[in-house]
Amino acid sequence: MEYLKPVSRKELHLLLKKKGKNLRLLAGGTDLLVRIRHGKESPALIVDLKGIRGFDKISSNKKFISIGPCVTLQAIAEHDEIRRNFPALAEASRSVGSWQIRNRAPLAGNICNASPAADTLPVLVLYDARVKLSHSGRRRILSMKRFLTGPGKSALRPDEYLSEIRLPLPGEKRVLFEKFSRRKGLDLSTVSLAAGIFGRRNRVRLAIGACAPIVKRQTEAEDFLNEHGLQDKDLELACSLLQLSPITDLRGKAAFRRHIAARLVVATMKKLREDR
Amino acid sequence: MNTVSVTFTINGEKETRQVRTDMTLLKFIRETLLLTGTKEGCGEGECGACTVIMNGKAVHSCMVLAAEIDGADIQTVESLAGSGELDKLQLKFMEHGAVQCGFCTPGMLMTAKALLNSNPNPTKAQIKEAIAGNLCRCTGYKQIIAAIQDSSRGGRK
Amino acid sequence: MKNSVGKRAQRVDGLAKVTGCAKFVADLMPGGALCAKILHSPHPHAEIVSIDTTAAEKLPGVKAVICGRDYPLHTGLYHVDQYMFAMEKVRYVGEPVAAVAALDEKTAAQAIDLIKVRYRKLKPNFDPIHGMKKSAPLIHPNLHKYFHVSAINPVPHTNIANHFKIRKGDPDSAFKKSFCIIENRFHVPQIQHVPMETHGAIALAEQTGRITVWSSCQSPFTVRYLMANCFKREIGDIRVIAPYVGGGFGCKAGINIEPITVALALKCPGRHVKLILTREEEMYTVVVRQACHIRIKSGVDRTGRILAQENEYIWDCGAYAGYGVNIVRAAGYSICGAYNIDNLKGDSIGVYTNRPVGSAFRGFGMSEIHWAIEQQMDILAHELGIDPVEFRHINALKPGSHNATGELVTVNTGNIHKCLDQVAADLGWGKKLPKYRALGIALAQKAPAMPNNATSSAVVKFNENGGVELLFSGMEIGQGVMTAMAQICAETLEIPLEKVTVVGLPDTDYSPYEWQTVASRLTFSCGNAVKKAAEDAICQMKIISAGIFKVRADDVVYKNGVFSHKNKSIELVQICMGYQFTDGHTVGGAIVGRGHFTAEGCINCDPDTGYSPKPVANWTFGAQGVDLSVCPETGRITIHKVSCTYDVGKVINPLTIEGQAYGGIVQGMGAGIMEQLIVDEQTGMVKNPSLVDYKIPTALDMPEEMTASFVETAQLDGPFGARGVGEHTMIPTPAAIANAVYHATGVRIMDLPVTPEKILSGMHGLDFDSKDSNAKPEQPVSRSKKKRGRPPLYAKKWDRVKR
Repeated sequence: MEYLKPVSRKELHLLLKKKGKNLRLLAGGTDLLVRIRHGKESPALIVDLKGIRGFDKISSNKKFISIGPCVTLQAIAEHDEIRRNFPALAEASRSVGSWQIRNRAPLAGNICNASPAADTLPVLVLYDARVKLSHSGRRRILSMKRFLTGPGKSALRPDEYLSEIRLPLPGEKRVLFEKFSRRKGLDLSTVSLAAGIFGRRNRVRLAIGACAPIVKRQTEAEDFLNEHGLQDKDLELACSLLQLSPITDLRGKAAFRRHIAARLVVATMKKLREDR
Repeated sequence: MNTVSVTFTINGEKETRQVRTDMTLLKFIRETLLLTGTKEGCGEGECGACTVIMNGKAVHSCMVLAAEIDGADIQTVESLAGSGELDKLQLKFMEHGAVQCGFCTPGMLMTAKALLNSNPNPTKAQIKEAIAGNLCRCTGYKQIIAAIQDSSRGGRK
Repeated sequence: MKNSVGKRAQRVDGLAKVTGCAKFVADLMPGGALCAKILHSPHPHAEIVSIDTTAAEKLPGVKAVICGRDYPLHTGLYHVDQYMFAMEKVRYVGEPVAAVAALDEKTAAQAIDLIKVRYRKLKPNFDPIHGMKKSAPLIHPNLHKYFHVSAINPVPHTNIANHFKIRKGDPDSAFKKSFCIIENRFHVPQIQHVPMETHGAIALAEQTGRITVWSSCQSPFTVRYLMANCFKREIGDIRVIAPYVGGGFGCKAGINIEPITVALALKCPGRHVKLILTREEEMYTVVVRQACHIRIKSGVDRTGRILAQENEYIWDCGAYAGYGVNIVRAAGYSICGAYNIDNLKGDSIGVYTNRPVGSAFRGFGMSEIHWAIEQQMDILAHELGIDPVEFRHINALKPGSHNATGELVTVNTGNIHKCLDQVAADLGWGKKLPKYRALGIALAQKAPAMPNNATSSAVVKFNENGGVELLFSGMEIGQGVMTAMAQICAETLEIPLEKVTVVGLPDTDYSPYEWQTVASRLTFSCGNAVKKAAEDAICQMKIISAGIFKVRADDVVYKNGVFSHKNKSIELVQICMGYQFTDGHTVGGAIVGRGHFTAEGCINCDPDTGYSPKPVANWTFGAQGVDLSVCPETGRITIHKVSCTYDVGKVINPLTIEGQAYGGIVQGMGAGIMEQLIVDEQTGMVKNPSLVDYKIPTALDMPEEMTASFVETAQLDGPFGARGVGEHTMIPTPAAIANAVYHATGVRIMDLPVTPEKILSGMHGLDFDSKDSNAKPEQPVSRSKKKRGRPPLYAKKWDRVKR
């Protein structure tokens, strides 16, 4: 296994171009090192992204907040501007793993793994985050919907890397993140949920994690709630419109996940409607 | 066998070493630097026994490659009493009975140290959140939390 | 200076542990050590057709490859049923089949992959109830040939490794007289100890024939003894050194991986062979806690007195029961918990299955059976409309009552009623609580489950300054034995605690004998040995002083470091290395005190009735209560407070005993609400062999508040009145949680652990197992409709016959 730590984007682009297929990008390593330990992966080359200037920065302009590929979950959880504008993202980031893991693992890694149970995905989907995928001489900006293509699968090509996460401004404070897991500390989600009320028109947005191969907005339930309101009976009816196809695994049975997802939707929307 | 050269600070001393690229920081600390205070409990970031402070932050040394520490400042449990005097945390851990079998203790101390460095006056909830990644099977955490709280600026002297 | 016992003394091993100086086995790095790896069985039950190690042996860097045929040797403590490596067949997924020693880890791992084993699959059985039937496959066809200790009763030509019976009074007629009879079934799954330090051992075989083993173990002398048997050596040829142990909880009791390292070392003389298990190996290849299927039938009168009871425990011992048979025995003589029941039929039956090996786990069967007993008591109380605390007062043991084996309870046995009242008071029993929040209570009793001849010894060695080095072989596994022994020693010698240097961490070459560090027996047994050793030293010095004073030894008084007779006195420091007169002549010499202790008068239980006037050395009783709330939407439990009280005879050290209490509560809580080893019943594989999917409590999961208090009814033969409590602290927690959940929600969960899924199933009649994608409400299943088998997740009704 070879280890390289490029110091510029140019060097990185060159490496990706030449050896894209056989290399693995390393930022936090909290997933990659486990996979290597279990023999699930044995990359010939590891390219450490942490040497490139600016990759660990959070910046903003009038249109969006931009998060670099090496910005850790802990940095996001503690970042004032993010906490002000996207509090649910700070909350979701804080719920990932343990402090030690959050001190290493970047948000970009949570996104690129594209796990259906990734805690930050429902929130990112809700906030309409975009990801910038770069490649020598080319880059594209995708919505989360276009980026996430399946469980553990994304639109990222072997010669590309995620170079930036964009959160469109203004953010929204009326967003809640909820997580149901087997224990309170350091656990993967059995069900996660982000729900919010957006903009002057008070539009409901809802996304559920760990209950479908791809984390996406629950548009049918959203439309129903936007049309009918947030009374108790509406919430219960909206639950029947949830698009869920959970699996049964060690973190929960499929039917249990469905039930919990529905209860979380109701409980969270009840909290939110007070803000509407 | 690939190696890279890394220059780093370990417990205040600067060193340069050739390290294997497939070696974790944990293995490097224990087997090359022979600092065995840092423990391996799971090797996959789930137990916190291997916690060290890297550039001021608590990290799992089993989840860091030794190759990544070029330019880094690493502190292990051995640094706490490095000056010859016990750290307040160490004293308080003993005073409160926060130690039983002792296997999680070094990692627990380093997480606590990183916490107090960044937040000298943590609440009980903040302490719990910080040490949630450090499993202890003996103590039930109560005395550990009390020790950390008592070591903080707000704790009694 | 009598102020050491009862003192909130800091741990004597604390400094080594907070500085990172304390060495655990993995921290020992002898130069040139070879790395060992084990090949584990991938099948739960299969014949071994052939093992081909040639390719592995040829791999450069490999120094030894061994398998069963190299060492067809048995190991085992109470029931010698296990080979070092699987021989004719494998009996569980994870069983050691072969092992290698190589220059480095990578080479060892490669060599393991090169060993070719051909298996012929056999039908596995994962259900002990099925295993008791004639039609079940025999897992140990040679059971009748195995050696076992006399207190164990295996049933030849079956899968039953031990059957313990209690037959007391006349249950049949007492049931007929009962006002109400209630019968319930409960289940406890296999769980894992999860010590933070995995098992590890290093072995060195020298050309002299000497074998040295460094091991993370609870029982260095037992390891030495069993190893001598296993390798057909003299005991003196083997030396076991035990460094600090990173948590045991029972999994490091007896003998575990040590013989494998020795077998490899014998093939590479002069080189250290080091084996440190990975967390995954730790999870299922060594030992786990046994599962148990429980049935309890109770008959009560109108006033709430239990007239008769049947307790049936069917233990899933897993593939081997070398240690597990003694848990079956312990559950047998403790069959009905801390209650006074005159008419009892008890059966504790250990059955082999193709699951991971069941063995000792903190509580040694008691946490498992109390899960059922203490819920049954609550159910009875509820059915009769009696307060659960009051119901327990009516039925719990008190002076004059006879326990399950017929032993008389006296005022010195321990006072469970005081414990119960204390916990009820601490929790505010009876207070008004919001909806979905409730209290639950449970009692605990446990005795040290040890052979009647289990013995402890200690040596007190004086130094020139009137201080001592204290030697014993109780293992410091976190419980604080080093500190407690130092306190007992200082108290007896009447010297300051600082004057006692504990030479813990036994080396069988130099340390006095200790049977095992298990059973919460050290404070009691090793503590007595230490006390006697100190007394012996004083006695020796009294004799010398008597010679100096020219009086009889009986007339010499010892107090606070001074030997005196009338107006003559000599300080301890003047005499402990020999007393020198002014003319230079000297009497006496360096004082070494020695002491041993074996509990007196323990009698094996009668194999047909279980009767024994004294089955065990002592009993420790206690109570625990839980205040929790349940989220009706998600079933999530929030534990607000846990209070416990134990009658420990005498608190030797408040700081460390509180640590045992809090640690036990949280470990009990883990077992109660989240822990379970899940075996795939198709493949026999453990599905959650990692800390990712086997969850133990974190700091965020612990109860919001915990209190611990202690009653001190002196144990007559305990050191300063003390008896053990290390395990007891986790015994009642799961049942107390289940009782509280019942009171909060009306859902009675009989299948451990208490999960949100089971709570929701019970509360809303949801069936999460349905293939149908949406859970549909369904009528709760009454227990009475089901024959023997797995209990449902929950039950709202129980079998009940009203007369």
